[in-house]
Amino acid sequence: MNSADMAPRRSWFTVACVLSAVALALSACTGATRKADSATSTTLTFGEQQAPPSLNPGSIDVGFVDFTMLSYEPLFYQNPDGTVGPALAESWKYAGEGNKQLDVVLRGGVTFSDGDPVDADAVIASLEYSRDSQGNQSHLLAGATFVKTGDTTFSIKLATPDPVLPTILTQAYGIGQIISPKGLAKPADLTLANATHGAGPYVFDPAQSVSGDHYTYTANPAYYARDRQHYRKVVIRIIQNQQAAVNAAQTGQLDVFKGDYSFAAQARSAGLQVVANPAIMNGLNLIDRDGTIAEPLADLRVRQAINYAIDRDAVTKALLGEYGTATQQTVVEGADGYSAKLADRYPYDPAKAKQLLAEAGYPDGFELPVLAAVFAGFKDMGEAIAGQLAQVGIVLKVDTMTDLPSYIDNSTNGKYPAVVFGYPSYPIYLQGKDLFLPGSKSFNGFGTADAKLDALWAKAAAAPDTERAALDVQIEEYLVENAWYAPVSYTPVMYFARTTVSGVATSVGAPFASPTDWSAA
Amino acid sequence: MIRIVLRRLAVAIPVLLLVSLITFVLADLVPGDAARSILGANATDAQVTALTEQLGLNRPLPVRYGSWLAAALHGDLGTSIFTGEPVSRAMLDRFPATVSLIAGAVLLAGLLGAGLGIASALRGGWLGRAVDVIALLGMAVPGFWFALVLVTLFAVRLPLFPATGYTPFTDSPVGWFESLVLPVLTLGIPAAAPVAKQTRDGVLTELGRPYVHVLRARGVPERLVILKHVLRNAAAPVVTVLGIVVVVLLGGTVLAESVFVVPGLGGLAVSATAAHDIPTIQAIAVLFTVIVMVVNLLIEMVYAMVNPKVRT
Amino acid sequence: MNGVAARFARRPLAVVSLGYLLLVVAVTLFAGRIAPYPPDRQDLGAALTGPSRAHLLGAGELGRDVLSRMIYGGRATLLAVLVTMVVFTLAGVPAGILAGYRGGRFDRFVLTSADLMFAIPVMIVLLVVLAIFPNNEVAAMAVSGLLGAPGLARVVRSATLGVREELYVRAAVASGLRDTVILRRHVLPRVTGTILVQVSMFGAGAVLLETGLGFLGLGTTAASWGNLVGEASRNLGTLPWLLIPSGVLIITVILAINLVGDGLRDALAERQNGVTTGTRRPARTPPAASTPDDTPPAPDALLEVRDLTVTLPIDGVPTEVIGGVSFDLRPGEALGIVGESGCGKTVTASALLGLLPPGAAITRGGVRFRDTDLTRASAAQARRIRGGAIGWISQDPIAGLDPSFTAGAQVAEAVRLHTGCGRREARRKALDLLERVRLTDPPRVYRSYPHQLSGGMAQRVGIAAALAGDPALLIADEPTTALDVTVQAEILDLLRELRRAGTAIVLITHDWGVLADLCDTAVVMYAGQVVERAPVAAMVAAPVHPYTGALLRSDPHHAVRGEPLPVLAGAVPAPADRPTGCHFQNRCPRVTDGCRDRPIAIRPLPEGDRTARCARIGAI
Repeated sequence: MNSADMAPRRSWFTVACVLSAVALALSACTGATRKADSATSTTLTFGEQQAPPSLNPGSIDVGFVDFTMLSYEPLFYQNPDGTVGPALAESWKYAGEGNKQLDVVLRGGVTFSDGDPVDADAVIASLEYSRDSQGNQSHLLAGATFVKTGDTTFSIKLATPDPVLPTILTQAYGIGQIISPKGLAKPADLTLANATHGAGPYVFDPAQSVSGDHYTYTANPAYYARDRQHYRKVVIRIIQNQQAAVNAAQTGQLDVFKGDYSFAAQARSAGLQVVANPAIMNGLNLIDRDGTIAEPLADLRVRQAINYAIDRDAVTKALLGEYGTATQQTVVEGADGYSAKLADRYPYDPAKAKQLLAEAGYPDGFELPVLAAVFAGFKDMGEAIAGQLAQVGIVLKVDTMTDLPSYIDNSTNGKYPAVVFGYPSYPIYLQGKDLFLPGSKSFNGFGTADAKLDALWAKAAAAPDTERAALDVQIEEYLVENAWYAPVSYTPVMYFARTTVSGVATSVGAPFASPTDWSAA
Repeated sequence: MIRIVLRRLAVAIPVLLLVSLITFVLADLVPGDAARSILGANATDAQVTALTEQLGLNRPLPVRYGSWLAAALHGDLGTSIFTGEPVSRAMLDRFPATVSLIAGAVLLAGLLGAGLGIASALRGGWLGRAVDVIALLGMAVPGFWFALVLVTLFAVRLPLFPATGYTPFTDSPVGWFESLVLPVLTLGIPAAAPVAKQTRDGVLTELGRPYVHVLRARGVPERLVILKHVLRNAAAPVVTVLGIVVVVLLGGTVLAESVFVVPGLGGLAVSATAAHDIPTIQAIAVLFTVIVMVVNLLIEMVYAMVNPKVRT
Repeated sequence: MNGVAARFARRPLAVVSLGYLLLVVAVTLFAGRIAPYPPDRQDLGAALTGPSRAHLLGAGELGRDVLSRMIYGGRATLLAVLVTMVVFTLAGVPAGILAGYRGGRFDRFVLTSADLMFAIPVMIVLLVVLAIFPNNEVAAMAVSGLLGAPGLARVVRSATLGVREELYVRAAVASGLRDTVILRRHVLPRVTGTILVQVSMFGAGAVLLETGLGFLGLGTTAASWGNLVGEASRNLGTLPWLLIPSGVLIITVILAINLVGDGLRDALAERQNGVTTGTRRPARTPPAASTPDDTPPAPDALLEVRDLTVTLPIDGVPTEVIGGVSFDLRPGEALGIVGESGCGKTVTASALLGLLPPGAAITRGGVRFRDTDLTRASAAQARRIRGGAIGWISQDPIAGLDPSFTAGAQVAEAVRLHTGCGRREARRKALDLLERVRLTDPPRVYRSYPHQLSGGMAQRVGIAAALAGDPALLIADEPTTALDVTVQAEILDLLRELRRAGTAIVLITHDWGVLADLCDTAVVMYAGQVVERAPVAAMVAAPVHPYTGALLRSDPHHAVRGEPLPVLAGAVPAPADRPTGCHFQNRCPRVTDGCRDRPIAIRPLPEGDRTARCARIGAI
């Protein structure tokens, strides 16, 4: 006899409670088994890390061109191998000498998705808008004028020579993507709330999009080159968390995404294609070369000592494994300006570095404030360089910014003599404009001016292709010899793609892949 | 009951004013500026200045707050300075995902927590200890870690649920459910821990009260004693805990939204803060405050319904 | 707090956890001596490699030693957690104590601001704070402490409120001690436990928060546990191992903090309730079982309790709480059970209804009501009898009612259960019952909630509900103890009236006056046994058992004016400590060796209808 018979019976109730709790937890799992729904050839879904502020190709940052190139057909098309081919422009050539006038012939019979015809007037209006839009590439067209020479022909007249103008007007840069007259009538409406006004293969559909999460484009029925329109629908998803992106690709939710090295091994073992092109130079930008706030940097021997003190191979391997390459130059091997002669100008040699420092009057080293940021791997690069330089007595005080605006402000406000930075292996002409000429403020914060360098650059800009190559090498050699920078590694732009997608490719000349090239395998 | 609603409403207005003012001032203190974050890396100072003027960001703070407030009172939360979209649209786009996530997690936490809590209170022994262990682990295991485990198990290894993303209910109810399962489990299971604990303590306390003995002595069937009397009396503190869970989840969604790439308000809050998008931050802060206040009101109403001492 | 420390020390899990935490803190403090490398020392060649000789727990980004970073990282993390806890405490405790102690306007102010703060979305504020002070984890954590403080203030306030109402604090206030002194000496020590528990729980949360900030990349840039987690999640694809050391460390630390908090809470609860939970005394052998009582049953009994023996597990050992209890009750009779607290009166009364505490078992004997053996009845049968043929009246009238339902609803529930009638009919009958128990305004009482009733009214409602099944037997467990004297008399009148109407009554009491007033027979219980059973008048006139005599002498009703009330020295032994032989031996003035040898059997007395359990009957 025990109390169970007499005491209230509770067992059934307990069992019911447990069962309902367990059932609830499991009900989640009893849902219909999910098919790993492989991307159909009708839809392409790819992942990006940052959301764009607008879809206005004339003013958007170059980092967001993937979002606009789907809708806005460019004047010229940059192929995955870096060569420039036709798009809205059928043919083109520099007129005369000095790279100051480009004559363009447009393809006939092409219309924008909103119905406007693509003619010389429309294209000129778009280029003028981009020149004047105060966008962050507008300066590349500064001083340019456009002269209509026929319904489908016009000339671009430049104030200063530009040998790579066709490249600048490809889909890889926003300013070359052409906006229709209807769109230009109200540029303030070129936002994420409205359909796009381009002549590209797809049209943005705001109704199927959520800002900051996903952006949907549908095929443009009026597109002139149907063979280059590979999908019925393209969706860009914003996925900041790389692990989430890998998971999504692994389960078929993403076809392609741009990622970083830390997930390469996982992506590869998950059966994804890994397309990696080490094309972005990372390292230390010694911007206070005149010694305005950090006197030691004015001494060439100090800048060279810094270059000798960094074990580039070790740092590159530690940070990027097999996907990075060590460098001492601002351009990759095979690109304009690469100098084979200076490939190993600064071998790792701490003793030599110490000797140079001693000669410059800093036998015990010195302290150097350095600006870094949490993004783009700058933090790790900064810490790695700090670890290297500490061994020759140079103590880096690395301040790490968390957001882009603070990083940019501090790169240019004269507070930091050196900055951890990254810059793609662009043509030397563009490097001049953005990186080393006095006017290129973002990467030349103290506005270092060097008459010899400026003259070399101007000469190369106006030179025909045949002569320019040699001049570019001279420029690069000048930069290396004078140790304006302490480049460390080329970090890869990495694309992870499912095997169902083909055409994801990059090259020395085109470090970034264009989604318009991708198609179903 | 109406008194409770009125009293809450009277508090609501100063709270909303206070919260909007605090966020406005705090957001203004954030270094860097909106124009720079819109224009990007290569913009010149002139461009930045021009845009700053165009956006009216150079006006004094009280003027900007005043005009924001005036518009907000007319139901206009302004436009995002980052995307140029109406803030209300961005919020509407993202509200359903966050609400689905939180509602699902609260429902799971409530049912699972209450079920486990009741079972362990009635059974004790290993079940009681199991609830203790689950509660302890629920508090100790970092959420993202749990999320990664869930994704690896139920999305990658066993492709039962999508690894990322959110399907709106209107697109596909089944897809909506499937897309919510893993994030809801991530948020809901740890949240069930305090609910289970409170339920168990509450039920045990109530079971020890004299009226339970009296009811049994009166021949009231055990089922009724538990369901009608004990649970009702143990419910009030559980409801309070659920309310706290909702408030905690409002913060917790940031993480789940990041790992599962769910377009919700938490992620919007993070990116708006990074982009200095003050109108958006303002609107989210106000909306979150409203949600918290509505939840508090609901708790109080449920309390009043359950507890006659509050009502009478 | 010393008692608490001792009680805490008895909890091995909590002690181990505390030790672990202290160890972690010590290792962190002496990081410079213990860690194999400085936290930022790079070993590029070993970047992102698993455990090795050089790096016992592997190496992370830039080849930094994971073990060393864990050891040094404790500094940043624990500092941030400490700051959070300090801000939380400094902001929450004074506000809570003052609000609880002062009350009035300040109290309302604190409660309202707590409400206000509760509505502020913490996450948004933290994001903005981190945007203003990038990577300034300490600032963000301090803000989180500040935002959490109102919650602490609320808890401390209610704890203070409780302490303030206690007599000695009131006395201190009345004696004119300064507030600061009262707060420091009397209030603070009493709420310290609550504070410690809250702060430890918040601390555990703070560790998680720090980890979360690290995961989101918003935390400090120095080595910290959060950063290790962030680093691990960034390199999940390359070296998943990194999740293990940091994850284990964080999970164990949070577990330890929570376990220490739980241990503190339990130790404090023990001090306040005086109960021991969780600790286990060494297993002991069960004490000898009582001897059976084979008094023959009365032939016409309504209720027949025969040799009823109940055990309860105490420290895991089934221990007799009542043994060999026998008595009979004829229809319409009233029987009173007396004895000090802890003698088994209430267990006996509950056993009559088949309601025993969890784990209890009837090991011998039984209870027969009319033709039903209650110890063998099915659950449904037992339920029909409970509240039907046998009604129960509880000790605490207000707490005996469910606070969530109106008095009427509870009476009507009983009516419906035992008559099976419809809602409307049940309501009518319930109102009749309320009238029958002499309530003045039955409809109003019907609508009232228990908290709106006086003790006397509530007890009448309780009786009304007990009458719902028209019972032949009422069991009243000290029905008047909690009531005022005048109300007591009214309730006793009511019971007497019911008895006259033919209801049999079992009354549990320690008041001889009540017993003599209402009952025919008295049963005296001591330490789980019936020691004497006799007609009330005979027993009061000539108690046989020494315990009965002592009880009678210490009864205030029998006090002789001008003389001190004789007090019965000693206490009732707990079930586990009952001696072999006579249970009363240690308090008995007439104890002999014979009382200690073996269990004493209950024996009928010559004058008939009386029994007693004493080895020295006859010798006296």
